[in-house]
Amino acid sequence: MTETNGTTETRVPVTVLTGFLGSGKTTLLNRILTEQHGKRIAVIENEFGEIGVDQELVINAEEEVFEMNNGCICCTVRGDLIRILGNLMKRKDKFDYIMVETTGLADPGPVAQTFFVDEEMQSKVALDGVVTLVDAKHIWQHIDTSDEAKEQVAFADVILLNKTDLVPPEELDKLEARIKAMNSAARIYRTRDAVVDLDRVLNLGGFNLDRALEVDPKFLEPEYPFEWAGVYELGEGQYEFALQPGPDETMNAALLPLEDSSPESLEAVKMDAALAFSDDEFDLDCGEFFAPGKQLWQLKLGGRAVRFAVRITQPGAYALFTEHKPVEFQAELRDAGSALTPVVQHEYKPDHEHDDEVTSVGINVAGDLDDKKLNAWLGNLLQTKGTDIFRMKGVLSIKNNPNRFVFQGVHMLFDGRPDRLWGMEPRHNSLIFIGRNLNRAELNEEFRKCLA
Amino acid sequence: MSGIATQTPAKMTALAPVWNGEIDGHVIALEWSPTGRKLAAASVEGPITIFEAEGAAQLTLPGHRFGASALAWSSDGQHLASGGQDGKVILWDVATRQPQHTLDGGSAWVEHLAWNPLGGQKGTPHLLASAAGKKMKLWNADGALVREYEDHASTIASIAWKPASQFLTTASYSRLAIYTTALEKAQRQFEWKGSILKIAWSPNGKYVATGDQDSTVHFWFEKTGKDLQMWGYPTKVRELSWDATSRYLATGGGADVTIWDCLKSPEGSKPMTLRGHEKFLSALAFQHRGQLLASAGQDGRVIVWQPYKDTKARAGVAFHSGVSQLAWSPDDERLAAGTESGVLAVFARP
Repeated sequence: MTETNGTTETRVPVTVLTGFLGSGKTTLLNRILTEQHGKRIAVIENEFGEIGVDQELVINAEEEVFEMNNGCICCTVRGDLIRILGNLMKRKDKFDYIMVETTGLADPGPVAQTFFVDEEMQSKVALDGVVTLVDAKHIWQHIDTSDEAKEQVAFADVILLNKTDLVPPEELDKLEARIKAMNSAARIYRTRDAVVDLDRVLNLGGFNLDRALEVDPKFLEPEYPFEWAGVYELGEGQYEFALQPGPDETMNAALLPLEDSSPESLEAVKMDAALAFSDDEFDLDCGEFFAPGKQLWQLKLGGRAVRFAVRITQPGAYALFTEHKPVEFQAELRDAGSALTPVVQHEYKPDHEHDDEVTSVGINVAGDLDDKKLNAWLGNLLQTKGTDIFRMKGVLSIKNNPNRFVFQGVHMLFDGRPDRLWGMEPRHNSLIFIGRNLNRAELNEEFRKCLA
Repeated sequence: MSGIATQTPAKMTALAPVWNGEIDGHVIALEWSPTGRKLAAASVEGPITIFEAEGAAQLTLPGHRFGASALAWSSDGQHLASGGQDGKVILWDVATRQPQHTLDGGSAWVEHLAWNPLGGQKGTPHLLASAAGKKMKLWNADGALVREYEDHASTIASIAWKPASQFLTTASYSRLAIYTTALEKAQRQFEWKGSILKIAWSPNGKYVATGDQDSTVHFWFEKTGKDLQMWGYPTKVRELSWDATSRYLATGGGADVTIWDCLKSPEGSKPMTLRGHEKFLSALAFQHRGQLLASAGQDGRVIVWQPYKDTKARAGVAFHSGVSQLAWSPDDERLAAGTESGVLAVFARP
C-alpha cells in the first residue's frame, strides 16, 4: 500500500475552455454534456455561447473583467465567475466538474487568475486545466498577429488541433512544431469535430505533474544552447580538435574541467556550460588554441578542414560541449592523430529555431531546496517578471520536508501545497515556466542558487 | 435546544436558544417582518419558508426555479418580495402561498431587492427596487413597473436606499451611483477604479461605506463625494454593519471584526478589533437601536459583542456548519441565524 500524506483535494475542478471563434468550443461542450459519462458537469458559457442542450446546469455569463485597485494588470479577475461559482458552491447539488467557456478573443489570464486571487474561490474550486481549441486551418491568420491567440496557446494544458480534416498532414506537423515551441508543457491532440476522450480534457489535475510526465516524458527537459557533450580523460599534453566542412560556417564550443568522468559530473557542469554559451564568444581561427575553461569559443570553419590546438596542463576529466552534433562536422578530439572516444556522451534537446517571443523554460534539477532562498527568489521573480510569466507549475523538493511540494501559478499568483511523500522516489525539482521573453539561462542559474 | 446540535465556544457564555427550525438548503436570505411576528428564510435551492409564532407554525412558498437569492418585506409587512435565478421578482400573497405578481427582473439572476424606507409614510407609496445583472427596476406594491433605470455598465453588486429618503444607491464595478425615483439616469456618481461588493449607509445618511473585492473598505462622504480607503483586510469585504448612532462601522473581510469609529472621521484612526472567530466572517449585524453587535462566521460561530464597552465576547454559540445569515428582530430582543446546511435558530438577546 502506498502511504500518502498529502492534502486531499476536495475542491471542485474547473476546466477553462478557450479558442478562437469557430475553433469548435461549442461542439466540444455539446459532446461533453450529451455523452453518457455519469458525471455532473456545470457549464458556464460565454454570452455568445450556443450550447444546444437545454438544462439548468448551463449558465450564461457575460465576461466581466475587473481590475483590482492596485493597478496591477496581473490582478484582473472575472467578477461574474466569482459571483456565479460562489452561488453554485452553496447548492446541495454538488458537481464533479465545472467548465468555463471563454469568448474567442478572451485573454485567458483573468479567468485563470480568478481561481487564485479570491480566497472564497480558492477554498472551493481549483483550476484543473486550460484546454485550448485551435482551428488548424485558420490559426495561421492569428498566431503571428494576435496576442490573444498566443496567450491562449501559452496558457493551455491541453491543445486540441481541431479540424484536421481540412489541413494536409505536413501542415499539421508544422503547426504542431510551432505550438510546441511556444508551449512545450501542453499535450497536443489532433481532432476532427472536437472528438476526443473526455479524460484527456477533464480532470487533468492542475497539480498532477506526474500525469503530464506520463504523456510526454520529455516535456520538462530543458532546451540547451548546445546539442552535444562528450567526456574525455585527458593527460597532460597537447591534443587537437579537428573538424570537416559541415552545415554551418562556425560552431560554438567550450571545454570544461570535470570532477571525474562520471555522467553525474557531466550533469553537474551542464548549467555552467549553459551559462558559458549565453556569454559572448571569442573567435578562434584554424590553428589557434582552444583553451579549457568557462570561455565560449566560436570556431571559424569557413568551409574547409580545420584543426584547433588543445593544451592540457591539469590532467583529468573534461567535457567538450558543442553547438552542433559532432557527426555533422565529423569532429574529433585527437591525440597524436588518432581520434579519442568519449567516456560518456550526451545529446541535448536543441534550442528551437524560431523567433517566437512566447516560449517555455523547463528546469530539472536533483537535490533539495532551501525554502527561504526559494521564497525570496520566487517572490522577486513574480514581482518583476509576473507580467511576462503566463503560467508555471512544478514539483519541488524542499529540504527537511518529507513531502513533495507541488505548485502552479498564473502571472504573479501562486498556489502551492504539500503533496504525497517522496518515499523511495529520488528527490528532484521539476518546474516549467511558459511566458514571453523568458531568460532561460538566468532562470536556470537563479533556481540552482536556491539549492540548500 | 431540541433538534439541532450546537456547542458553546470555549470561554464564552452560551447564547440562549428560543426556538429553531430547518429549511431545505443553504440559507441565502433571512428577513424579519416589520412587526417581528414572521421570519422569512430563503433557500439557495429555491423555496421560501415563513416561520410564525416563535417557530411553532411555518409555511413554505414554492419560491424560485433554479434558486432564490433575495427577500424583502415592505415596511407595513403586507408584502413579501423575493428574487431568484429564474430572473423573476415575485410579490407573494402569503395567505394563499401564491405569487400575487410575477415580474420580469430583466436578467437571469435577480440578486438584490429593497423597499423604500419612506413607503407608507405621509402618502409616499411603497416602492420596490430590484437589481438583476445590469438592470435596475422600480415597482409599486401592485406589481406595476414604475421605472426602468439606465443599464449599468457592469453587474449591479449591491443596492441600498439612503436612510429616510427616496434616494437609491447602486454599486457596480468602479462606480457608486445615486438615483432618484423620478429619473432613469443617476443623479450623482462616485467613481473609484475597483470592484465594489456591498453598500452600507450610515443611519444618519452622512456616509456611504462600501466593502470591496480588493480587500478594502471605502467611506464616501455623501455631502462632498470625498472618500477614504481602509486597507489591510485579509480577504474581500462583504460584511458591513453600522450601529444605530452612526458612530461605529463594523467590517468583516477576515476572521476578525474590525470596527471603525466615525465620531469625527475614521481617517487616521486605529480601529477596534474583536477576535473570536477561527474562519472568515460571513455576516455582521448591529442591533437596530441597541449597542450589541452580532457576528457570524464560516467556523459556525455566532458571537454577540458590546463594542461600546469592551472587546470581549458577551455570548456565543457554534453550529456544525458555517453560518450564512444573521438578523436582529425589529425589537432587538431576538437574534436569528441561518446556516449553510439550512438550520435556523433564534436566540434571546444576551
